[in-house]
Amino acid sequence: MKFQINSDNFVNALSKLSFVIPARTTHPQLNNILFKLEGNTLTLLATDLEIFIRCKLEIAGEADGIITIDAKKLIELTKTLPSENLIIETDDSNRFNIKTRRGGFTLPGLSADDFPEPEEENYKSKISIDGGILRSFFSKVMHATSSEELRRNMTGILIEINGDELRVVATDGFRLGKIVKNGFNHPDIADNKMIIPNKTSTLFMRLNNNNECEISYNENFIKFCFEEIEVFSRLIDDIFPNYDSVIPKDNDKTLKVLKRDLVDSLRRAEVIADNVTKRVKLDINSSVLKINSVNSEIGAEADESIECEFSSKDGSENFDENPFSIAFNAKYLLDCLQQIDSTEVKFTFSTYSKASIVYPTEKNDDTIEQMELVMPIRMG
Amino acid sequence: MANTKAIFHVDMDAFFASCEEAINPALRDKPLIVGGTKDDIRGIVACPNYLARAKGVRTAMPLSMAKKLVPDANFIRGTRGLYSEYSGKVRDILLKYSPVMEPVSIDEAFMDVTQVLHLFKGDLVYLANLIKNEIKSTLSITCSIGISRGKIFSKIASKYNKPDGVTYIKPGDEKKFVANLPVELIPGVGKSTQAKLKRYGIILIKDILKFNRGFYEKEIGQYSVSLLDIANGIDKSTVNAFEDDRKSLSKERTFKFDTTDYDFLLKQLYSLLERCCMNLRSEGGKSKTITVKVKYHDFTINQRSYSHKRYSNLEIDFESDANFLLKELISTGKPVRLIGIKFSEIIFESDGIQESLFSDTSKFEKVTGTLDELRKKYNFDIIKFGKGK
Repeated sequence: MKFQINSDNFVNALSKLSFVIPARTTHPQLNNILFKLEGNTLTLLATDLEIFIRCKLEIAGEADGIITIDAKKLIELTKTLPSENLIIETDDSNRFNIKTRRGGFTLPGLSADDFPEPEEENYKSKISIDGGILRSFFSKVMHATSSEELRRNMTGILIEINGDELRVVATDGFRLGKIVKNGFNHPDIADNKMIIPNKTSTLFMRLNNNNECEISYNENFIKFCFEEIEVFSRLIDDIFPNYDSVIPKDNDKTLKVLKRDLVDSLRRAEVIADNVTKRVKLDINSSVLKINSVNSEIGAEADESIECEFSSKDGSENFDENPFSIAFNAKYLLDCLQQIDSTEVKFTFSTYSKASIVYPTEKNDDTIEQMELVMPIRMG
Repeated sequence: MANTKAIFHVDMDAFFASCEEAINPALRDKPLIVGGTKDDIRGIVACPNYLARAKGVRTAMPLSMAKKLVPDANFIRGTRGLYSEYSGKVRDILLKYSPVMEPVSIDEAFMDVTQVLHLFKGDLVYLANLIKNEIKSTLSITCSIGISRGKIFSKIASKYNKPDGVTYIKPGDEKKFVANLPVELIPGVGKSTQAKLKRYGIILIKDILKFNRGFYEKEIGQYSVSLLDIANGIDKSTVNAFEDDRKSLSKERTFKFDTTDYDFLLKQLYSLLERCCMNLRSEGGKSKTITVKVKYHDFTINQRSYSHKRYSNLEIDFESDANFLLKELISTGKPVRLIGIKFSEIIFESDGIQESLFSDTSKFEKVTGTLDELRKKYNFDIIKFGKGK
């Protein structure tokens, strides 16, 4: 194998692959990146067996070949190189030589014979979506995923495609993030569901793609293709909880408040709140939202008031006489507020022990509906 | 003297038999064997009273043999719940005298009285008699108390003058005191170690001094080097009081025999888990961190913990962790003499309980609620979980 490549392009491609290289593995090939040169196309492949990432680069090829090289060493070596043209060549004893202006490096390589291959075939369905939109959907619901291995079905993001509608949902059982995109225009697809592992969606966000992305999938695998990249990932083989049934339909109280005011106040209240429960209490009357947290262990208290609009559907309750009270984990509330791009946010409540829903009040795109759900802390 | 530790080992005398006699004094006049009725052919003696012991009956002896030794004895199966009730009462009395108390099993506990001794004229024997007499007068059962600078010698001392006795090994007298005692009186020296030692002519504790450290490491087992310390009168063990911590809850169980039997240990662990969960529920608490602790045959202790993201007080949420942690702890293959479980990072209803979206455990909550009610009304063992393989 022999080719020439610009060092910046080389480092850029290697860094994309580095994310999947496992920190520890008993399979020596998984520490490596596969290099395959055919004509002027250099293909790089890395995997942790759950995710494969393949990157194709057009370069000046001189002699075809295939080899695998230790990823960490290669990345460490090349990332500090100045911008220059590199000449890379392998020899008969699987040595990988990198020639630079100042000299060069030689790394031992392995034969690519037993390097794992991704699932290339058998993808039954294919959709297309703007990469930037999908990334923003993932980033908006990611906070609600669970990291508990015992609840595997919640350790990923659900993608649900049903004709005209794309839904992206995540929950850990205490909060839930949901985004629906209408006008998705895939009339031939009905009720397709898949749970994308967190590592895969994190990789997708890191790859920072804003171009059209083609997604192919079957029951076990999903494949994302965009630009020169292909990502293959195993799906979570489990059933996502029936989230629709727990989203309340009859929340009768509505709170409107400036997001900035609420976030700042919550951040201060969180500092004071009990370390374990992070409990903050909201007492709401028709125009004032009081945010209170108490930490009896250290003898500290936070008490702030901000302006709001609060009413019930039938208008029969007098909240100025009997304010509505509800308590939350401050972190959960802040996590969800941070996902909402709106100057003002709208909460709906029913009782102090039932789910609250948070919506943006402004929209940039009429085809997109977002909601965040947070379960309260029962007040003792 | 002020800086010297003072540790009591309080050992109840023929505990199960004494409790039975306390609630039915008519049993006192004859040999009593707790463990089974005369018709229980396959049972073993759980606890004989002192009249039965005088005729040669010992703990763990087959009932059939006991029947031959004392055919006229009273044989009873034992009363469920009675012993833990009395054990709790004894602990309450001990805690009145010193807060630094470490229960070892249902019928024995260590106390560190160093800090409270000045309240009792600085007189250890006076204090020991005070405790012993209060237990006797309020509960009608007796105990023996061993006193020394460390747990091991106190435990040896409590066996020295049984029943209803107090034995004090003065600081500096330890080596002399134990010199002529048989090695099996050292806690942790079981039958197999005893047999190995006997092969080298080590019968009495003073015989241990005939060999050096290297010998014990090589011939007897690496943990037996502490035998030399004991023979030399050195004991630096201290009392590990139960944490008086509102944010943790624990239970332990010591076995009669050291074991490596995984199924047995798991069963014991689940039983402790059920008890801890029941206590959590009755206090309105939920925990997210479970710790499994194991004390091995050589008295070394190891423990492992796992923390969840969510709080729970249901057995079902902790079972698989407990099992996993136990497997790790017993992977060394060392026999186990004690197993314990601890919940920490507990929050109480008054702290606020995080509501959950999916009530997938509600069915189990109902079951455990009913279970708790039954157990409170009758006793803990009235109902049990079935364990399928």
